[in-house]
Amino acid sequence: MKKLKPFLVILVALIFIMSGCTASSGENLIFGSFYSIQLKGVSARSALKKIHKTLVEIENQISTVIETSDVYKINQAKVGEPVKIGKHTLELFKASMELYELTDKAFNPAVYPLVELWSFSPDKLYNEVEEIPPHEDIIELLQIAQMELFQLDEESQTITKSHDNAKLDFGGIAKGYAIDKVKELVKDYQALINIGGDILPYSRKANIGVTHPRENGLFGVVNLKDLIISTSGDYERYYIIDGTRYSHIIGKNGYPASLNEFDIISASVIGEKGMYCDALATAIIVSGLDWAENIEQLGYSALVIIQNTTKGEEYYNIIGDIQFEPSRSAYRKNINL
Amino acid sequence: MSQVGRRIEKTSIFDHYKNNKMFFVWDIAAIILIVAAIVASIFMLSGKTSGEYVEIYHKGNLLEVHPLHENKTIEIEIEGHNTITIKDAKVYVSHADCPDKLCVKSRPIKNGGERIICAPNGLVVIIRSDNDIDGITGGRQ
Repeated sequence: MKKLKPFLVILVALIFIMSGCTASSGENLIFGSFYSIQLKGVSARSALKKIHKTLVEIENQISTVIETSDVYKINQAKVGEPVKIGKHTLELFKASMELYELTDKAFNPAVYPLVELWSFSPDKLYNEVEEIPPHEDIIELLQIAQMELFQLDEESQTITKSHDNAKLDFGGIAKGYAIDKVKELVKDYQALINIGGDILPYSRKANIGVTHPRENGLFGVVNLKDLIISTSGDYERYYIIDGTRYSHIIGKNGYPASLNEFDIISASVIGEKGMYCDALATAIIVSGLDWAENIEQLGYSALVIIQNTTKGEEYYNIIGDIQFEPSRSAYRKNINL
Repeated sequence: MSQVGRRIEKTSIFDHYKNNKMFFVWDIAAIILIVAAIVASIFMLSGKTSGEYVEIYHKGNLLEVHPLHENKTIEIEIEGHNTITIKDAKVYVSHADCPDKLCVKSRPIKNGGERIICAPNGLVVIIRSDNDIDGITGGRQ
């Protein structure tokens, strides 16, 4: 028994350490959506606190509704008035410029004045929309929906506008950026990170359900490890007028995307960088299937769901390498587990 | 071998503990700790209930857990007022005093991992099930 004593002490210590290694954020809120993080590793709880702090820091810099945020100040600023920005706004602005060029302007954070016009901005989401905006207003705002109207001065860390009404919104890239930042904080852990539906299983495998864009439940299940998945869809925020669905993703012509037969209504992009996944998912919806094939060259894959409005059906296409099970088999698997 | 060693060989195990109280106390302490740790681990690993259930969170804190297969109406009053209805194994927000009403407009949820969010009132409603997938991408989030 005496010889066993050290082993007992070690065993007890191990059991306690192991049971203290798993931590969950619960279902928390950020960017007007949810986040949920599970960590396995030493001091998981303090890591979660750091993560929460980082997420709040990002939101406080890039929110379009928090009046002290950089983005709010930029959107309110007049021509030639430099606005001092924080590190997150700076990083997001630089990445946005890169992705704006890369996607041939399909991913465009400067489209925000049109998002407001179409009543998809957070302050207008509660409005009941009965008619679409006049065509002339759309054309007018298209002129200011350009990233070229914002100038970054890295030295002074400021952004200056060249049109009073030009406005920015990093909403199409923020969740992906946040995942990239959280990834840096969980290097020593096994983690499942879910920020508003952008998901990263880190150092572990995960089965990720893809929301069905037209029915309740899932379209299918993607098997993933150490890669991020981000989905954009015309069903996330929309309203229907005279039988036409108008979604929050605004196309290059100033009208919502996915209005036509055989348009893409959902794009899930998988890859290394959350920001890219996020922006490319939006760009695929805006630019269509032919353009979508370009993402493979960038090292990204996608599951795209296309509508056939005449038949009332949806079908899917896979670009690159994805382990995907469509819903029937996915449900069967789910039930049998 | 010392005399002490020989004496122990001759005595019963109870005598040994009587003669060495400190060791006895530590043994008991270790056993209690092991049992406590095992019970705690089983409790943590097994979750709260089996089957499908509905969890309601306010800003990361779990408020309530309800079975999915029991029809009921739940009133939540913290930052605002939300009425959550569980009916025929589906969950929806039937009433809310938030400005955007996105939670009320959300489609009813029925599968493990599906959520309804009311960001203005700080609420997340999620279905958990034994056959949970690890996460859902896309949706009104």
